[in-house]
Amino acid sequence: MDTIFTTKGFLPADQVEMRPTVTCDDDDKTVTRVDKYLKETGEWVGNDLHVHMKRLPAIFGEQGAFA
Amino acid sequence: MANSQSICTSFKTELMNGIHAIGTTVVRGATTKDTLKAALFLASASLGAGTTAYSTTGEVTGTNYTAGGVTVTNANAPANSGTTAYWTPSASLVYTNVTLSTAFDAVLIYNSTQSDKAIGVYTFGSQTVTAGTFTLTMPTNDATTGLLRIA
Repeated sequence: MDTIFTTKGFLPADQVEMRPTVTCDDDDKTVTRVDKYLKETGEWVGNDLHVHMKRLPAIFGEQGAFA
Repeated sequence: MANSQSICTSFKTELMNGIHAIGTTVVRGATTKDTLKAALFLASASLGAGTTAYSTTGEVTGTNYTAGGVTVTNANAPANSGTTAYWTPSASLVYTNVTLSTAFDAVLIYNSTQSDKAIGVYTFGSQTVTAGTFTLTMPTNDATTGLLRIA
């Protein structure tokens, strides 16, 4: 049985509702916060976080010239 | 044909492979690749271009988080395309079943084989995690988006 880690420990996946929210989506990254709630009571029982790194700054090699 | 002034692309890749030692270097114990790690830092910390090595100062603490962070999976060899050398971890960085209650916003990738010397600081906005898993998915490993690129 699939389980999900929560503030109440591991619970069966079918007892937990996952609600993803994209909190940032720009050229550099997409941040998705996934809040977890008990289906039966609606109680919040924690959150996961996913950050997708897209494009990061490069190091530029710059060549010098003879004087 | 004509000569063209340039920094050689092979040199850029070889920098990542530790081939050149233009300054004083270290005695390496083996030809194997180094172990890299990824540690998380609080939003109140001051990491940046001036960071020279991993330190616990400003590092997150919390349930199921181990100081020093996680080991970076490195099955990708540094490569080049066009005139850009690049490298990216070959798997996501995953912090499993953690509670990190104090806001954090950065990951430091560092070389644990070479005295924890710093490689890069990457930020993602202030975050918290409660009884959950934090996953940092890496960009595509190419000359345009790779995590480390020398252009």
